[in-house]
Amino acid sequence: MKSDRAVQGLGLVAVLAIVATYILGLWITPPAAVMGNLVRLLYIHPPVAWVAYLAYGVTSVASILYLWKRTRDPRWDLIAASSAEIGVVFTALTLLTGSIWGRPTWGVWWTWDARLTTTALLFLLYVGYLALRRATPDVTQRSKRSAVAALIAFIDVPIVHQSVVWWKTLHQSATVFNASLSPKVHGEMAWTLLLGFIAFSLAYVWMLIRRYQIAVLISKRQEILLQGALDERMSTV
Amino acid sequence: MSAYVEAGYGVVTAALVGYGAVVSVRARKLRAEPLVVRVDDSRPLEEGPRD
Repeated sequence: MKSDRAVQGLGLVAVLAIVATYILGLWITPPAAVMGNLVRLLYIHPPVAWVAYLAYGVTSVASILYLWKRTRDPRWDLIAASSAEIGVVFTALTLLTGSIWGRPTWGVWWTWDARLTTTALLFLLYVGYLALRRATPDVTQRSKRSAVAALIAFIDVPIVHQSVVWWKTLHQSATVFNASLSPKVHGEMAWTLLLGFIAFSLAYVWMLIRRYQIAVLISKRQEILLQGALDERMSTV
Repeated sequence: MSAYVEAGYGVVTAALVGYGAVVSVRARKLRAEPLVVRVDDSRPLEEGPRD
């Protein structure tokens, strides 16, 4: 019960942080010299993309821990799956907010730019990962196969991040996590962006805990149902 | 404020609230729901081979 209250508290803090990001991003920070009010999308688009990277990073680490015999535990598999699902939600949001920003800036909703294309591929790879999990009924086989698939899919994450460096793209280069680690935003704009990163990361942690709880409950339920059915069958033979 | 900015914030808010609500409600329901093992006993079991 105590831990559940802590999770509720975390959810509340995440909501408050997101609301604060919205207030600062929409009303307190000034419009940019070139982008005007469109710069306000910058306070949500990079943080949302960061959470997608984070979610897939957690999925990969959990998958490695599942595949490694010394640390193998079904819980790692459930964490990997839970985090991947959240990653898919945030990748979809990355694509949507990017598209909304691109229309007035570039004049198109979509273009086959390196960053956009590799991000779309990332989305499809993890949708495929989730589909693979549903397609394999045997639990152990499913866990092993999906762990390998998660690690293959993760190869695209550094490619997405480096796409603006490796290819001449329409998408602007990294604002914060660039090679020289010198952010291109300053003052209240930088603080608002930083708050956005923290707020969405907190929301991710809250979602991961809740989604993991669901995964554990479903897994236990399936085990009990299977055992019940086996006991019933044995008693009638 | 640009309509594009409003659309961007709107999409993110809708997705976070929607996903958050689904996850929260589902977790609560699963915890509250008693686990009942349902066995279909309307159909007689077929006899297997006997030694």
